[in-house]
Amino acid sequence: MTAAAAERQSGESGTRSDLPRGGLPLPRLGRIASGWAFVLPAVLVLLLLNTFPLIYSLALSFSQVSTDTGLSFGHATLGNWRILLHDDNFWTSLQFTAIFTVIAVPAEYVIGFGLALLLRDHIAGGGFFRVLFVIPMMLAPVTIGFMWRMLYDPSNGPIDAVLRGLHLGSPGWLSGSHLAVVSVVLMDVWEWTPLLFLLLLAGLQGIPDEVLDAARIDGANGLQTIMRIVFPIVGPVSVMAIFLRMIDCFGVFGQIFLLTGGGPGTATTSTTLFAFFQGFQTFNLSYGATISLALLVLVIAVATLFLLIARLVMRRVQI
Amino acid sequence: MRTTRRWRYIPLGLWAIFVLFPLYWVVITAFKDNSSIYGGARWLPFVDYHPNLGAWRSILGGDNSVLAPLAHSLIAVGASTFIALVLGSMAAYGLVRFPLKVAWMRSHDISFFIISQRMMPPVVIVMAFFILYRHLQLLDSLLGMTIVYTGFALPIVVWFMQGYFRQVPIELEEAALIDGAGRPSVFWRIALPLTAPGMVATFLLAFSFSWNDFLFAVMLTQTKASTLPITIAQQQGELGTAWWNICAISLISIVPMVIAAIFLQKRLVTGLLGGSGR
Repeated sequence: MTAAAAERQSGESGTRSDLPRGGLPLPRLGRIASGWAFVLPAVLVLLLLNTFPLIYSLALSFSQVSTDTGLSFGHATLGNWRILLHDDNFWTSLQFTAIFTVIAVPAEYVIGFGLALLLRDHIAGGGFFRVLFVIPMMLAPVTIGFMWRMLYDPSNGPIDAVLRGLHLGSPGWLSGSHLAVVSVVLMDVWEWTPLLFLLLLAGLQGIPDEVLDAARIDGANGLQTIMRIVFPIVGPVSVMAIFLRMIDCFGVFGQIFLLTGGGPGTATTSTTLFAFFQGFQTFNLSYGATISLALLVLVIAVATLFLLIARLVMRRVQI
Repeated sequence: MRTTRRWRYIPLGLWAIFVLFPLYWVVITAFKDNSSIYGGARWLPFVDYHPNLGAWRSILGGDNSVLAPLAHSLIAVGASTFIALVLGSMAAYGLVRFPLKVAWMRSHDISFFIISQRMMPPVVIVMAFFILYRHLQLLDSLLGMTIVYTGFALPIVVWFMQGYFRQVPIELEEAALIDGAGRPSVFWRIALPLTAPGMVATFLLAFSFSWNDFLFAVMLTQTKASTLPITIAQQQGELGTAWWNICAISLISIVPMVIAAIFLQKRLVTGLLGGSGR
């Protein structure tokens, strides 16, 4: 009897009902073993390339490693964490990162949702708009940072040229510490509204026309339809999209590095930027690692909290 | 809901202008030189400034040739994305089709472990990579960048490919198994080809993340493996910023991404949405 025949026989003898969804009729041992053969390489690579460096970073943060000490580990110390807690620059960077996230993500969500509503139905030119609206998120952050620096330029940029033409003067997009934050957010809205647009459009296109027609016949107006029907249906997509954006906002780096360099002063220094400055410009790698781990803890905390709240809200919406 | 409402084109048009104008500015700046960049904004080539090809001459073979960085980007990003696609597709298939269990973790926990790597801000591991690479002499090497980008792309690939494998009808695979095909050949000959469009989308998206990466490249490369984003950033020097070069190199790096955007627009969504649910 060939192996294939054996496989077939045992496969046929297993009752399908006690198979897990998606499982195939195969001998139990063979099934698990070959499953691992598929999954294990990726898991090992990730353990090596992500988990191990993460643990290494943790070790760095409890040591004193810098180029001055020849990159060798010294005695274990809590020093970095103690310094971090009293480092005003760290808290300022967190504050910027939080404000940036809290303004940018909702703005992107609202605009993305609006654009998706406008393009849900087939309209002439819809395909053109859809492709165009996705392009910004495909560009390199480096390009985007420089691009906006040209646009905001007070003497040679187009925005201020128009404002001067209207006798409104130059607001100094990147020189005032409050306005610089707004400028950075505007750049982010340009770059990342596409992602929310794309995901929400898919969510909206999943709503059958009949449902919306029924609502209209029952006398619901546009706003009621959106609040009572559209929102609950695109809820899960929204949660995931906002979640993704939030996590990325916490790690924002390249665009800001090239737009403002974190300035004026430290007004737009995101936490990643701060960790970069500490780790690679002053070459205090241990402190850089400490800052980035603190950021990771914060990301995990905020992400967990967000998912918990989302779950509660969604349950209410479904009732 | 099929009625055309003309007013829609007003907000759509406004947003289109907002999206297009910065791109337009990059395109026209790539044909400017010192005299047409400074001294006020110049809006229209031929009308208020004379376009010239100085930037293009300089980056395509001149002092600032981008050919080497372009090759670095293509090799490191292409190779890593390909490796990640192979490993990630296998893992996604295994997680979707087999009830795995290790300690308390079941298939969906393992899948969460893999996808959750995407949550980690890259700066967390980059410090470690810098030191490790220094010891292993992998700094500023294409091999080093390929390795980093493989780990960077893998979670996204697994996430997306799970969604695509779920859409493959299981009956086809069952039929092949009954006909005597082994597990590996069912994967390579049946399941994988059926996800081909999704694989293309996944490849393009993962490619774009590494292609655009700045953080890893700026920390781990100098010259021998510097990528396009690094070359763009380097145009800002002590003697002033070569805006025309920045824009020209950016355009070179944008082209593959815009093509990707056109392809992706539909597929991307299936991947993002399909991989997260279970």
